[in-house]
Amino acid sequence: MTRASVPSARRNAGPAPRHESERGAIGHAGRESATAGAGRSRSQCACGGTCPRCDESLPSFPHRGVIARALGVSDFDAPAAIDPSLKSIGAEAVTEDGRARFARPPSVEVAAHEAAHVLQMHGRGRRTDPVGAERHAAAVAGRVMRGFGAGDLLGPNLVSSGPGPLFFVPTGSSRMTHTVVGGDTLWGISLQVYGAGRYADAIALANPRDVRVNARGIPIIEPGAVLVLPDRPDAADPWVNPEIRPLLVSGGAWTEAQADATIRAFTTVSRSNRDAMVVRYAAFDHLGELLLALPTNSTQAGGAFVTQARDLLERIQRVGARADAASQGMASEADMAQAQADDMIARNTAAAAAALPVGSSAPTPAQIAAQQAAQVASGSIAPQTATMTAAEETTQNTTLNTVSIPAFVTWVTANHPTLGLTAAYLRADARGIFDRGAGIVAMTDPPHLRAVVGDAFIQMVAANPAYALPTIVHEVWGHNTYEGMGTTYGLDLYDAAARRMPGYVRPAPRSDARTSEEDNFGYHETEMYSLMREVPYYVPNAPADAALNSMNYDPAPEIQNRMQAIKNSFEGRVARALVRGLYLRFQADPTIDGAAFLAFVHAVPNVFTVPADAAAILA
Amino acid sequence: MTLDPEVVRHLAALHIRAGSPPDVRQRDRALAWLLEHTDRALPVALAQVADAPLDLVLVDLLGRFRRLETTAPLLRAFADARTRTYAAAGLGLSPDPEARAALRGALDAPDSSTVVAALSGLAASGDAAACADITPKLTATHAEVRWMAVEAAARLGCLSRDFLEDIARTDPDADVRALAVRRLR
Repeated sequence: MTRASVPSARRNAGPAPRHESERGAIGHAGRESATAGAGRSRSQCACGGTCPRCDESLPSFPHRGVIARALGVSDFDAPAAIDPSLKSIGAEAVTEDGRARFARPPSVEVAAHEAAHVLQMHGRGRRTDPVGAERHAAAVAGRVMRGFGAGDLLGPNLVSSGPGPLFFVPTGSSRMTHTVVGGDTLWGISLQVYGAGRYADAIALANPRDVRVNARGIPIIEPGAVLVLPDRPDAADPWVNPEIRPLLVSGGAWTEAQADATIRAFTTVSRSNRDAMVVRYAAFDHLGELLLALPTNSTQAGGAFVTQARDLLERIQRVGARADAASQGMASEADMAQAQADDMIARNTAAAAAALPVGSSAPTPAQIAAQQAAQVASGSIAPQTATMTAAEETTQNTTLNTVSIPAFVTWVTANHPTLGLTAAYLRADARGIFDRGAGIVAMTDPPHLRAVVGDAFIQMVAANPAYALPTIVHEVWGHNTYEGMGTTYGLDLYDAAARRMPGYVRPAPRSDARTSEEDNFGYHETEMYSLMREVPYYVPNAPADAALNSMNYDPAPEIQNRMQAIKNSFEGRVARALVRGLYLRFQADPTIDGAAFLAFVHAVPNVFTVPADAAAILA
Repeated sequence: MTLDPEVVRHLAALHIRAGSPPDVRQRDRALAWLLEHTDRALPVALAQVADAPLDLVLVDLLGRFRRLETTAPLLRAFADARTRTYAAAGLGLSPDPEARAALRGALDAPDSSTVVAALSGLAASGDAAACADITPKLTATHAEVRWMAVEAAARLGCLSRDFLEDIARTDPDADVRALAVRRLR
């Protein structure tokens, strides 16, 4: 089980540290790789515990005073160390044999979380299954971080080992309770449970028999009363919930059932409320953990939660982009669109002026508008110059159906079983691929979720099935996952900007002109995502397979090219905001592998060469 | 040698291996740019193909430049079965008489795949003067050679309608007959 605490360091590039049950340790890392057999192995300490920067012991446990006060003990201490090598494996902290190691000086939350694990290993608290241990530690950390006592969580009866955590039921069935003790107030309970005191009235309404109002109108609760805690005290925000909110605010180990109910609840409210929820919770940076807890592959095309996850991710992207835009002086999306419009008008005006004879007067609005049309015009599609005979077509299709596709599926099943790839995801069409051009490996096959393959696929599978896998993933789960039948943020911003341009007339849907606009302003981000999906599967050609170099190549540089294209297409500040939004989206997206995310991260300073811009994107 | 970065970028886009519509359009835009800037792109492409003579995409591109400088690398690519088809098309498009002569000479090759490729190259040339070289292959014993001969001859306008109807009725190979029927429409 993994846990993420600090966004900048918690993304790992491969499998998460093994769990306590396997090696007596509890690691706090980022996402687990969704790719089985991706071939990236890691050690716990990059330098084996001998180099100077690795494993520097601390004189005492970090934040020991705060932790001790919260636990209700006179002192708390345990062996602890700073181990920067944890960063290389994407881990924030790990506790092993009662000793904690931190990737960096920890926050109170992280330190308290590890303190809980230390106590679990010393028999305090009730250590149960791994999920229970993580939940317990998260609960302790949440209490400590918010300044509440956590001593009660160390009693053996308060960490469930029984039927597991209560499930979040967004329909409003109340399951959680709070037993009133002396000094409790509704406001305090509300603050503790929901993170804000304003839900005190909701608790009162849910407990009319236990909450009475005195003559001065003040609600009174008696010690020993068992108060029902409403699952959903805010109709506009189903995530204000005693089970879910702590996970969203402080992080922790999600169960699949919790994540399932949470993402479903998200889609029950209006778009504006969903936006407000993302604004509210994105700042805590735990939405990715929610998505990660959903079943493997369920958030990609063909999965049960693809629509809901895409909705959430798009909002994360847009909220992040808008926040960055605001930091650059663009207070709203309208301001972003206006900046983009001004930029396009300036470019078109310059191009129109350059096209006029020397000494001409300024270009007319029509001439400027014509430049815009010209700049997004697509080139004519080059016809195929080579010819495929009917016999070649038959031979290739037979080979595909009887040899290449079965061999590929067998190989993928053995090496990447989590992909769930079957022969149904592939269709042989040698001529269809040939007609697309030299070196094309595969293409999508709408409306089906599958890839069409031809001669290049035959060659690649014959050499090594691994060579073909990136493109198949791109075609099946790339664009289909990112945009579905919808749009992209870049295209939306372009459209909003274009409306502000004098003389602009939006082309008809599916016309060549509209397609060109989509390619120029909407394509790059979806292509970037599709390339990132390729990254974990890329295997370089063996020297003997150099003939396949034109078809099997590292997708990482192409990710940078797509980012550069965004920068070239948009006004500088808008481009930065767009890429910032993509950064946040990809960070939260469970379908993006750690190595792919790193490829994105590494591209940022190469494209945004002003250090402040790169830093803002990666903050 | 420092390669023109803009050319290199467009060459990279030309190598997009995904064939979905936006990807193909991206490739086509890159191709259009490279052909529009032949004087800048050709030296870079020649340098790259020297390092990667089996790169199908580069071989295809070289032919589309229709320049004398591409004959040598295209002839090398024609000699390898893995790149022969695209090299043949490029040789057919070339204005270099040596390229056309190489295709004509290959019509006498002992292996049918070379003959098929040579015929496809002559078809790509669009030059009806090649009819005299192509039509003898309409009666070749190898069905695939006849298929490509019909395709090439039909594309260059070498065949009368009666001749095509005769092929559609009498050729022993079903694929050849089907092609002739398609060409009659």
